[in-house]
Amino acid sequence: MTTLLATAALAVMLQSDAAAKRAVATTEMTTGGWVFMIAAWTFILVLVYYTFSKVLRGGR
Amino acid sequence: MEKHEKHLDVNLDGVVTDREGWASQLGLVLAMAGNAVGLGNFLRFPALAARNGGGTFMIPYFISLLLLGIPLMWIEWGIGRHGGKHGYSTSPGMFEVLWRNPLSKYLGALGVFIPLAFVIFYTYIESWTLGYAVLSFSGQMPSIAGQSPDQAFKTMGDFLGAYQGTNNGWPVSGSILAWVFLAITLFLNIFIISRGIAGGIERMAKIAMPLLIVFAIIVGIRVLSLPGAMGGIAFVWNPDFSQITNGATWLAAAGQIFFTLSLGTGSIETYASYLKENDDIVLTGLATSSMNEFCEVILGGSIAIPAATAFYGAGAATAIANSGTFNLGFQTMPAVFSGLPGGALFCGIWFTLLFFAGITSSLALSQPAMAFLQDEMRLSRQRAAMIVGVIVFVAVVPIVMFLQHGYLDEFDFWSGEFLLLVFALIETILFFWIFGGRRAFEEIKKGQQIPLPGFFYPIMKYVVPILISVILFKGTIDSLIPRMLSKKWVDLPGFSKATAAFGDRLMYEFGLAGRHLVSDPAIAEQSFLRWAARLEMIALAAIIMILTSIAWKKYGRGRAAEGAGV
Repeated sequence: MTTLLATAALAVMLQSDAAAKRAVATTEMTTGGWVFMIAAWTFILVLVYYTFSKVLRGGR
Repeated sequence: MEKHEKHLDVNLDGVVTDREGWASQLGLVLAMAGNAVGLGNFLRFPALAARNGGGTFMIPYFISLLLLGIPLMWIEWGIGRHGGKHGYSTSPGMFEVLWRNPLSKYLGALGVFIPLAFVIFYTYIESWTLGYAVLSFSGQMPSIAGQSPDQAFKTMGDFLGAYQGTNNGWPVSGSILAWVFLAITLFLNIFIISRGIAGGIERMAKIAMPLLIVFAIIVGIRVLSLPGAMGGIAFVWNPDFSQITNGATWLAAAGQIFFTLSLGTGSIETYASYLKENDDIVLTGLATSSMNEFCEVILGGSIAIPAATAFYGAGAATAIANSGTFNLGFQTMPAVFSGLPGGALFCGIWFTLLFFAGITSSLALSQPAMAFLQDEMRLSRQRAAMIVGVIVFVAVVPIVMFLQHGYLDEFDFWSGEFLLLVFALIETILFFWIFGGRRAFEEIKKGQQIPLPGFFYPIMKYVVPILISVILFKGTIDSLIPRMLSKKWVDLPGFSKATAAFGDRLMYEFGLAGRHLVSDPAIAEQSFLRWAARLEMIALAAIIMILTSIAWKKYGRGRAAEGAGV
């Protein structure tokens, strides 16, 4: 949830950056692109680590 | 969870059963994740994200995961485990436990019909991945040396047509290769399900899922090392904030979450029915969802679109994303790999990982029919597997033969999309509104290894059915009505979706403003065979309902539910 809120806040901050770079959005990664990718990957990896560490620690 | 591959157990109704079970919690999570991870994770998600705002798509995507995907998954796990402790492995009995009404078992029969109809066409698509994997490893894929990207795409399209037998000039499709690999795929599926839950499905998941991830990482690293591949990553992730206020983006995200987690198929309930009363479902459900998201967002987002962009250039990225799942997987990707050193190996790995994604899903889709025949019709596992194999084979013949006439598309729409939403809505209402919201929530929490926050109660009771209803309504307007009338939506003259106000754009997405229905000759031409496909599905559903009725009369099924409902 925290990641989502942080992502939404950053989205607003980066709006002008994304709009300006939209023309080249398909060739270069913008700052906004990196932020969204890293935030989404982090959220998922943390979730995978958290759940699977508990599943494996259960030893069952 | 205790180790209980096969055990004698006394269920809540005092009946001694010898129901199967999972050997380990990890095996269950991998099997459930295998059910969820399918071709859509690697082909549908990245194209959908790219088309719907790139990075900003992840905002409605994750919100949908939180408000729809994970809660609905817990609901299905809860129904399954609750049904299992009353001795039921499929939804006819599970629904009767929730709602003591003669109609409930027939509503539940949908949960046997849907996965069976789904697996009939899905097995055929899965067999293409096996066929392409074998052809790639053996160097039998066509060479595109010296061809432009467009020519290469056409060469691969012709090859796919030849494989499927759709360009043989005959009114019926199918090739020897397609039939051979279909037979092998079907045999593998039947062989594995005939080995049972722990000895077949779980063992396969423990092999296939780690291999799938390793193969996806290998292919991903190779793709990202291509010059220009980062353009594809940029295409998938660069945010387009204008899309965040677009209703279509939110609906696309909610739909993707629903379908990627294999919700509404009836297979999750069947897998969960093999749990014991106090086995955890909160943590295992969350682990399953997280693994699916890992395969979809991290692995799926880093392969197909970046590879296509590297090969075709960034300018063609939109066309590639719009070209459809099959084009991306079976034309674009082989074309990309065939131009690389060692491309046959990487192409083979790509299709092998798709095959693993496919077979773990088809095994899950086959299990409700298996369990129904074993538990309700009292057949042995081997005989049940044989019957499922025969049904799938007989039913898939017209799909193979009339592929280009919309036969597979019709199966896909009804059993792979529309009815999933209907079934999910029914089960949510039964569990949280008829069985009782508080009882249902407490049922889900039993044996929890991590605490289930209380705010999920109103989400499950109110938000989940509302979201499903909205997606279902859009599907009815967008796809069902035009399909049944052989029509299609076109924009009204003078209406511009891009410049319309938010309200008008939202109405547009529901077909209520800015567009109207016109005749679609392509669909109209296929009308006869599309109706044949619908009749085949209706016949299959009718047979399952009749068998349900016979089982309840002959074996007294349903008596166990006495007193269990509200």
